[in-house]
Amino acid sequence: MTMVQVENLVKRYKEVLALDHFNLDIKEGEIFGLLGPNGSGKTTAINCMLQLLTYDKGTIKLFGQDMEPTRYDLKKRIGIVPQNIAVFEELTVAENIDYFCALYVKDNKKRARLVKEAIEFVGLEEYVKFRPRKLSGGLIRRLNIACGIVHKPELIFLDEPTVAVDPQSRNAILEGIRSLNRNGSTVVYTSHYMEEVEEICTRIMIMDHGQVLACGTNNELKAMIGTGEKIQVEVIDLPDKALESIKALNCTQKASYDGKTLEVFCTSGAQNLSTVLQTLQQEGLTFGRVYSEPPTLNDVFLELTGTELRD
Amino acid sequence: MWNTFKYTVKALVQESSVLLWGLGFPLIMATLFQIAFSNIDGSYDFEPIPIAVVENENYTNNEVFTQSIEALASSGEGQLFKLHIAKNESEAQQLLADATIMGFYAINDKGNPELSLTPSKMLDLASIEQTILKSYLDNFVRTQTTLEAIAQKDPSVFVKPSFLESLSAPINYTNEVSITANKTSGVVRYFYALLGFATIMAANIGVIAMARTQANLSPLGARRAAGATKRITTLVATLLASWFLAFVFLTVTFCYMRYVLDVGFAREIACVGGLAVCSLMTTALGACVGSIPKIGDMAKGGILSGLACLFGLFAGLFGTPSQKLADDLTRTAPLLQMLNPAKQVTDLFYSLYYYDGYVHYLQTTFVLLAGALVLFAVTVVFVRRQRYASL
Repeated sequence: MTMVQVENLVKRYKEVLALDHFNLDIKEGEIFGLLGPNGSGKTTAINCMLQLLTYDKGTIKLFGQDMEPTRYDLKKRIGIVPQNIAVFEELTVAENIDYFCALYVKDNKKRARLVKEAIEFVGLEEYVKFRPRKLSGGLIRRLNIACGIVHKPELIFLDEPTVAVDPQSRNAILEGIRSLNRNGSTVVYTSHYMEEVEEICTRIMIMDHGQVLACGTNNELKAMIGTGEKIQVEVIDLPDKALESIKALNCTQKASYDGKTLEVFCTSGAQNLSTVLQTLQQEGLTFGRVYSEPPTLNDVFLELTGTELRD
Repeated sequence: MWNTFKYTVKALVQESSVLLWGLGFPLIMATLFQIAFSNIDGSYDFEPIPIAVVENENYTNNEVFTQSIEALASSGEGQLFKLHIAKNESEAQQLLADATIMGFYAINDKGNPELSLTPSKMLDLASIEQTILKSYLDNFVRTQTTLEAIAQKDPSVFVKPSFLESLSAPINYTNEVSITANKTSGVVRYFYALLGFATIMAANIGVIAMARTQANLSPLGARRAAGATKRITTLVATLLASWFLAFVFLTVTFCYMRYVLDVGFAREIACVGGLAVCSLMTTALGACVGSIPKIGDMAKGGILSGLACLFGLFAGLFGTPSQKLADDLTRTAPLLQMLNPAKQVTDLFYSLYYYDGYVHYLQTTFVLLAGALVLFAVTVVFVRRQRYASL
């Protein structure tokens, strides 16, 4: 079943084109990652899908049905964890979760059970009577998540849920998202942290300037670019002649030297590392530490856009 | 609906700015008013004037004067003097110098009463009382002279019972009639204007509550707008919560004024009914200001404070010049004053205090309700959008 279907969505903020014929298709059971730098249009896309923003063109379907601001029946099936913390500062953790649950669930008994489960799910049992201002950044993020998922929605939008949290909380949040997915929720996850997206998403869309640059699984995206391996070698005083020799190798796509580290982007192949190191030895150079790694999503982004994934 | 109402009240009542401007500030102002105006109403109440008589032989010989003074100093409803007895004139002078008395009477060797008053530098403070002392003496001397003249001309009239009755009866040239339902007070108007001011300040509740429901005004508003509860339900519950809090705050302020500071209010049940209407008006004002897009919370708070001061000025909150301004404006531009909610609130309590019926009260209530309706209509224009061009 297609949970989210967006076609040719166009959204302008006066002169700025925030979404440029944006298309999206998310299937049931996916953890779908929207990856892009800040200002790339991720949050705008989500707010359009949630019918908070007007848009100039395009169609949005959720659960196979046209989404409208008054489709409360569809909204009941959606969970939202916004990028900005959206809780009542004056209410306790338990009261906040209960309030947001009541936006979806009217039955008091059922709500009490769901609130209890949500508190346990995000690990806030010890903080139920705390007010948000007493919580650390990580705990507030967990509260924000609890408020969004308490009613056990089928489709959850998580907009940068790990911004400004400590590594421990981040790991807990990521594990929680996996758990939600295992329990049957489809997750739309936006982030500009590519490691997170790589780690948890079953499918990833890379976007920038409101446009979709690429979409696929982690491996599919990496296969889209020519780089099969990235090799880094610590070398002292690499002569230009040696750099040219490296660049001349058949496996080399591009190579650069910053005065300390030689970086070589190679095509796929089993002998790339030994070929590069042999060439350095033939040039009479000694080298220090050597790193070899497959390309990252950042490399994919770099190759697709010509720029680094900026914050 | 109930949950939104419950949690909105719970959240708002813990918001420091709501508590400060909605409740703390009016209570502090009322207390300061009480301290500042504690002596004003005293000038409207008549207290027996402290005087002395020099009790010498001349005094005891003048039985008519002695009986007259003692009658006027006897406790009761018509008590005019609080009498001190001085053994001699120097003792009376000392009492005068100590400001224990405002004047003293002594009978001279010719048997005529004479009056000595407070030194001239204190005259301004006691002019009414001293005028009374002088008037009494003038009246006594005039009556005594008249009687002596009659005795010399036609003593037979003294045997007529009607003449004797007319002599013993007090001569009242004026009859005091109260044209208002309650005793005139120079202070209540300040407190009523303060209630008007407090009503405007209570609009802060609506401003904050509204910002939390609108997607374009706060992240919390956006989150709530994306939820599965109907927008109208959220709005109605939020406005009800704002009204309820405003009503509680204004009622507490009213009770504090009425029962702690002992400010004069009439027909308390109707007053509380009026407060419910005032709360509705202030909720509408808060909702209207709160829903203005593209203006921050601080700026909205500033707008409200400015409105409260402006409306308070034309409601007579800031002293006699302000009250004169308010009265002049009411005479020259009554329609403009109808647009001033603080003035309407002031008038509402004023009408209950001074008027016998409920006509003025109901008129003012209607004006406030109409104002609330207009403000709610403007609010609807601001919040009617379901989606926004930007958040």
